[in-house]
Amino acid sequence: MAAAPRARTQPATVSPEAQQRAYRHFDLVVAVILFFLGMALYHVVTMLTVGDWDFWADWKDNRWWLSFTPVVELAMPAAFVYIFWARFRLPFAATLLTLCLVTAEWINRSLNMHGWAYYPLNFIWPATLIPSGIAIDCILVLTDSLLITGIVGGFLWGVMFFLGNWPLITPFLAPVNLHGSLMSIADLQGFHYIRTGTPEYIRIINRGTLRTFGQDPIYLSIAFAGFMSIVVYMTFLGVGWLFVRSQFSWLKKI
Amino acid sequence: MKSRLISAKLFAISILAIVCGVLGSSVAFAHGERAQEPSLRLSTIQWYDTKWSAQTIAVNQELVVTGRFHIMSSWPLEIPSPETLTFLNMGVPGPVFIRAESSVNGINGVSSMALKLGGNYEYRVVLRGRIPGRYHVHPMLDVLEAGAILGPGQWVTVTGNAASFDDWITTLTGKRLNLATYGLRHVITWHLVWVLLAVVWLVYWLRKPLLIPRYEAVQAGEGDKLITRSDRMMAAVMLAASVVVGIVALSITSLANPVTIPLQSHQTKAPPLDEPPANITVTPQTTTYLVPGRTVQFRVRVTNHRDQPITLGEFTTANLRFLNSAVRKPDPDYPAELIAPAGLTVQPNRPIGPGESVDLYLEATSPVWETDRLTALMSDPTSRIGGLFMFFDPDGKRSLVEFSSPIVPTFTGNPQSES
Repeated sequence: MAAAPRARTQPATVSPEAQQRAYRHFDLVVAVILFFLGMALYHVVTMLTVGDWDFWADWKDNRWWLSFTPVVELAMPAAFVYIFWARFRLPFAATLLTLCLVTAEWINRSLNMHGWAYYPLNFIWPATLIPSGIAIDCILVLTDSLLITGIVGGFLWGVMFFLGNWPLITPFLAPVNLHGSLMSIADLQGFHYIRTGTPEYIRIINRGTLRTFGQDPIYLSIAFAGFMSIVVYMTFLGVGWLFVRSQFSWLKKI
Repeated sequence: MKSRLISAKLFAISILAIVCGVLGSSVAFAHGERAQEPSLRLSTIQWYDTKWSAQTIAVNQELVVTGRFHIMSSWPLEIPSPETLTFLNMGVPGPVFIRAESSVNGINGVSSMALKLGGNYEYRVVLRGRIPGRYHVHPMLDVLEAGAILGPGQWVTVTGNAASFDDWITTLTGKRLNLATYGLRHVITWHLVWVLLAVVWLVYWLRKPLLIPRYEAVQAGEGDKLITRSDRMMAAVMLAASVVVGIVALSITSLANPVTIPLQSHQTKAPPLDEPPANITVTPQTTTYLVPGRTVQFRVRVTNHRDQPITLGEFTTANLRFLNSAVRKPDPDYPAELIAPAGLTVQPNRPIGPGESVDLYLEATSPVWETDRLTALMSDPTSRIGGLFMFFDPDGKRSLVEFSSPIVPTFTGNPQSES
């Protein structure tokens, strides 16, 4: 007995315009999911790696904050840059992620650290990595090369972190005399606004002897951040490459 | 069918357990001080003379917490010592108060400081009310790598309106500003500028067909054609704009704030109070904890090397006070829950003459040994008890003697009782 003929599947779209509309809807859904996913993932990574340097104004020093933060924050964008570039030739992954991060941070600082724990927002504002993200994405478009982007863009990632954030902390570095001790306004905020779990000695600020070079370690910190960002960028491009190479088979399994 | 019934029952039991757990739980108001391991509370820092200037203040009003603490010379070896670094802190639920000033033996409390084992220190903390509410206020010493060691806690109520709080200071350049709000508009403005730039860049790309057409083009080997000349122009403009915005922001803020300093890290050494020696020796003989009676029993030999008679008036440990009622009266401002109602039993309860050695039998009875979880020291690797004995001469002058001894639990009878 012959098998009954299979019913023809109705096509998903009936015209090129409808197909384009379906593609745009798909783009929109993915963009929304990516935004929230980016906020959650990048924020968790930031809290676990940068932590206190990003939480408090009196941790934002001219040595560790400027050099440590951009270096560890580059890992995740670098991997996403590779995936977006290799599969879609889309050069906005770093900007998107840094925007996700700053959005998530402001939500967290406003609702959690200010709303629940009462810390004033002018003490717990986050840093922004958007200037670094724009720089690395733009260099990728201009050079069309991941290698040159790694070298030039990686270095700019560290430099732009300084340009974007040093103006934010500067007003908090005015000097104050508190009963015979010289403090910056940010230090005074840290003293006034009690943190039971973060005693003064736990701050990792200005440690080391970089002051030997012209009294101010800031330019060395920026240069160090730039060079290390090159290394981190190239390393995590490799992680992105591994994801792409696997053809997302792990995702398909899920 | 049967398994479905079992699942339904399990589900119902789980829901019931959660509801009972939520309804039966009590709200936690204090700081979990009872959760700290006993050896940390009994054998490290002994707080005494703690005073709170008020139990109710308004927003912006001051609350002054003063007192003293003794760093045990027999500090447990397994706990990192305060001779490295400590910080005088306050155990409060976050910045519901601000700390206007603090000091340890006159040294500014903004500093982390190294303290001496065996030393006595006097501290003073001035707080100001910020957020209305009722809070448990403890002095607290953070010890590097050991953590926080809490002093006694008192309930303090802050009344008024949080919106009326202000925190005016004057910088060394003469600028007067409200620390509660200073700089926030500046930070938010520059954040918004950068967000705007990011949105411009993202919208530029998002307005184009994105994922599927571009994926197909890349798969077809035509990926290089996807980046156009206008894309490169846009990238050049965005990059230039970012650099310019960064430089402008830096210039504006540098001009507005010509005098800045790096963040300051204050660390120093604090010498102990310069006090005459007590000239009293307390030698522990046996110390036991009578589990059924909730009583710590001491047998000690006290030798008075002074030229005046002395009387034992108080034993204090882990913020608990056991008062010899014949010598000391309870301080009405001290938290009542930290004063043992049964006091300190001293036998013989008489003055010890100059040059005299007397074997004393002491009983410190209180349910707080259990309720404050201090008897959990039986499960500590270090079963020791420490504290301060306070002796008084006929002029009322007090002498402190540190005490530290192994402690052994007894589960039956009353083996040390004099009766």
